[in-house]
Amino acid sequence: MSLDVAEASIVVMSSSWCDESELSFVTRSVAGAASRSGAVSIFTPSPAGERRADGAFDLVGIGAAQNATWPDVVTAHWPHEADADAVWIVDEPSESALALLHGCPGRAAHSIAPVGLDTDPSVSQLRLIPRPDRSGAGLHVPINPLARTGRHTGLGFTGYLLVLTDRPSRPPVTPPTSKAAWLTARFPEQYVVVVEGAEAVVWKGRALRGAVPIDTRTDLWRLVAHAAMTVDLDPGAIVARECIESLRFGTPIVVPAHSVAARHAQAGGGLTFRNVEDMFEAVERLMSPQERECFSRDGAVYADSAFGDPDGFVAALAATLQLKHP
Amino acid sequence: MNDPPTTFRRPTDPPDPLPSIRGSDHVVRLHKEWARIHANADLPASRTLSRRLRDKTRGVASRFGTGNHDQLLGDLVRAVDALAARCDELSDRVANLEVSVDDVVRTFGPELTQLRAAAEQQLDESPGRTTPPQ
Repeated sequence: MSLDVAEASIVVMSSSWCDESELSFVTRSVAGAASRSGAVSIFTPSPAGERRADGAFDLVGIGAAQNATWPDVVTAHWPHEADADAVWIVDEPSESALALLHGCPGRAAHSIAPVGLDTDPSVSQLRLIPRPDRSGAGLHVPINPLARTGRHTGLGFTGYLLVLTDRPSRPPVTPPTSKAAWLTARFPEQYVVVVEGAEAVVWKGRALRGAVPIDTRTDLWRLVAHAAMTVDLDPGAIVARECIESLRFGTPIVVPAHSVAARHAQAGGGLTFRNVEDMFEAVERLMSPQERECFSRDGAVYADSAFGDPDGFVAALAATLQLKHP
Repeated sequence: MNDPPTTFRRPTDPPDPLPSIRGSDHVVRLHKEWARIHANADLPASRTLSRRLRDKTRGVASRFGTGNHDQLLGDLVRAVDALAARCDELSDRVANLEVSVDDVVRTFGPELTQLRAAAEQQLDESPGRTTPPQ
């Protein structure tokens, strides 16, 4: 149950709550975990005083500027004065969000999205991925293990290269995204399944073979669980959720070297690439059953221990936010 | 990076070979029918009433200039046979070409793609290469 500012020990300011982004998923997970340690209030940039139930939380509007961004300090309408001891969490430390936070001098906050180098030092990013020495629990990233038991009904084969696209929204099916075109040209014997625009588009030997809809998260999990590897061209910037899910299903990953997901790959779950040739090398290496088995095992152990422990995440978050863990 | 490899408008996988026309039902039935007619023609003339009637009719017909249908049908059967043979031969050649095209695509496609990726990486890493102004 969520409370107003005065009663809440944890205040979450979220402009992404209703998106379908990774930021929204992580914000909801953090709010859920924090609610085990204290009362949580969720504030969104929506009409002042609007209160909308969403699962276990009430979303409270404090006013909104144009384009549904945060209102300025003067027009923001807080239901009550903030509790001086409340812990503040902001999903994205945008300029307008920081201005609101700093409406109360000396207020510190935790950010879910990465914090820029020039961001106010009073805002620190929450650690959601364990350190390289694997100490501490990461964000809980749930999967449904039953997805392993049956492949996606729209595909009559398994062991394909699953490519998670780097193109937004619903682009035309053909031509495919650049790196998928490189992959199907380089590996003509392999089915390359490109996930974009809520569809799984199948390529083989440079030719389009068909497309099947992805209606639910379970559909995506089925695709991930029965792939030979997941090539994520644009992993999420916060935890790279789909890469973690892939590793938990035992499917190794191939990801850009400059991404957050590279940390998962380096932890044993796969390989990274800087350019197309690197990508070919990584995919070729993971095509070897022995190599793939090795990465699959190590990746699953890493991902399950780091991202498969909901109680551990609740405790780790409580420790980070200095909350009293029940 | 330059343009990615072009995708094909249709798969290059060779489809199943076309069935033989010479062995098709229509042609086989034509041959059988033709053979049956000739077999009947070889029977003794006085064997049946219907045979005798047919011979009589054929005699009358030949007198009025329509008796060379047998000849025409024979030519037609041979023409169908020749066409079927040529179609089957062409089908075989197309099937072979489809296999060859697929072999070429599967062999040279990946090799060229790999070479192109390597060449582009070398170009990117070459010291003379500068980033265009923003």
